[in-house]
Amino acid sequence: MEVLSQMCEHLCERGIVKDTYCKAILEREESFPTGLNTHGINVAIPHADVSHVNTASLCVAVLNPTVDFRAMDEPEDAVAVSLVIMLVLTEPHGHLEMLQKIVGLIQNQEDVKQIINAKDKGTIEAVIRRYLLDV
Amino acid sequence: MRPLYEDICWTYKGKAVICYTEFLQMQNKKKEKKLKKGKIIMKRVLVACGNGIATSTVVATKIREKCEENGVAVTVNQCKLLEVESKADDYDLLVTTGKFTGGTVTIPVITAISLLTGIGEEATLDQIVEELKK
Repeated sequence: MEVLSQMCEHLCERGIVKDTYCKAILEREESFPTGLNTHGINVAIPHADVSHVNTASLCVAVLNPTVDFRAMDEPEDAVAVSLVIMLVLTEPHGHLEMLQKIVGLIQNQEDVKQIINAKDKGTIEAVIRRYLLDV
Repeated sequence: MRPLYEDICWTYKGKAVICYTEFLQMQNKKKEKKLKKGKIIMKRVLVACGNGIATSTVVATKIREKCEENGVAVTVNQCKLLEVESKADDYDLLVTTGKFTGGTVTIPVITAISLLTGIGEEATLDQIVEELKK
């Protein structure tokens, strides 16, 4: 999928992930899709095995128009995704608080909307920061 | 509030409780009516997602917290969806985030995508607790 390839490339260029990361993400998405149907603004949370990652990070992409992902619970169904939050993890079962905060963000559609409608990176970053780094 | 040793530990009010008997004693002081000492069986929950890393971690934590609130003693372990068929026999309940298609299991299966999207989250958690109280 092109969106994921672009995001992976971006991470790879910066040395955040290893060369193998892109392939891992795409394969993983193929066999276990990560699109979440929220009945509002749909979100995808792609991630791959920790062995492909150098530095733990988050990579966020806002998609306009939406891109179809497969649904996590029903791989047959397509989900029109507006927001991709790629989890770049380095510890198995780790980053627990951060993961929970991401789920908290997905569940709060008003703030997801704010990210989608943001005019600049700063606004997006502010919302993401508020959810994931503060508190 | 994270167990120090995931397989044998339980956290209670922020304290790691090393074994099950201690957990029971602490619980008994508070919920004597609900728990009969020695009669409670530790229920085992297997949480599976594609990698056994990310979404299952979120779901496992929510299940632990919910069970603690409801006085249900559980051990929660995580695995990959691909490993489910070989592991399921040792558990009382299977909870998955993705669709489980990797074979047949004899234990009850609950899909918990709602714990990620928030839609129907409480209903799913209640369903899990109900299943474990059986």
